[in-house]
Amino acid sequence: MSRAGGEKAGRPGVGEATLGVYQGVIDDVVANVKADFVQEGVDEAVLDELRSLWESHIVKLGVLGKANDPSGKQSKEGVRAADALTLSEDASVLAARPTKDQSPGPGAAALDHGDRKRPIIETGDTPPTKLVKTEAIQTPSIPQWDGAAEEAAGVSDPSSSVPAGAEAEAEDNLDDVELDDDELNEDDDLEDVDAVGSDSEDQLLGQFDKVHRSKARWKVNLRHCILQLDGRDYLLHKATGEFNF
Amino acid sequence: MTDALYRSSSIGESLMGALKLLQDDGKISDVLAMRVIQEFDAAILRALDKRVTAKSSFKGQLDTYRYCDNVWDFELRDVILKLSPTQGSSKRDELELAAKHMRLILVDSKVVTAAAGQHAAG
Repeated sequence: MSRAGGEKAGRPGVGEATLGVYQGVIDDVVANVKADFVQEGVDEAVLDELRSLWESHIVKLGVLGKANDPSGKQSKEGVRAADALTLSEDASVLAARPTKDQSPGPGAAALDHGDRKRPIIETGDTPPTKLVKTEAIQTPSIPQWDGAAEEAAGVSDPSSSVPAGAEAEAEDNLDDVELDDDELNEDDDLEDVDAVGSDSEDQLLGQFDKVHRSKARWKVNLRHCILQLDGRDYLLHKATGEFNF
Repeated sequence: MTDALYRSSSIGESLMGALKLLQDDGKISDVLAMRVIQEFDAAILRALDKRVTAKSSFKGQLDTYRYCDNVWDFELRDVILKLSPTQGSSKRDELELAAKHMRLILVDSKVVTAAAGQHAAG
């Protein structure tokens, strides 16, 4: 997956902040549903399990970015972790992290519950198969001309004239061979472009304050957005967009 | 239910996955799972409102637009995004990203606010 912006050593404030905010959301939710769990008579251990499952899923998705080494290569923009964020403590933890591991496995272990100052999740480079939303892409089977010829019992060449008796059989075999070209079967369906998994497609979920159009020029004012780009999450308080149709 | 918008984010999907696992194991009831999801809806809204300060501006080509039920659905191409951590911190703190193809799913903020208000009152 190519990143047009390049690998910047300082995935800055915006990317790193997501971890803290997500953590806050998890804490919030868990705290608020505790009462419901108790009411339903469900053991608190289940609540803890929910939390850890949730956290490990997030880590597995690798959307939190990797630990970066500020002393490493700096991009020419010289991006720094903005201290204005809620995560100044995490920024210093980041600085302490020497290397990044590849697999998300150890990263999952890094999320202990009950520990506020968590080490930043090390997820390494965005793993190629990051998401479990199996999009089984159907590849159309490739017709085999020589194979068909071999399968056709008693017929050496499907296109040559065949004895009347074996004609039906040859027809069937011909159909098999040509099926993918002429007939429409399920393998020919184009993968529905709109139905790309929500996590593999770059998307932004948010609210609009205003959407304005003037001829072919669109302007939008957005707020409270979760932007998923190249497998990473960015949270935005406000955003403005301009596009040409 | 427009506040269900954020359920398809990674954090939302992770939660749904976790809940499903527990439900399949029979450890939590469907009602309880629903309750957790509703709590998540509210929590993510609060977090985005209060805890996030980053802003961004972006430009791109618009390929497709849809509007239905107070939801705008845009498909963009060749998008360039500029993100900055807080308002007015620009300059060097800005991050620039690009995307070949991006989808925007946007709900009307007025509707969300109204719904959130209802939830709080109810």
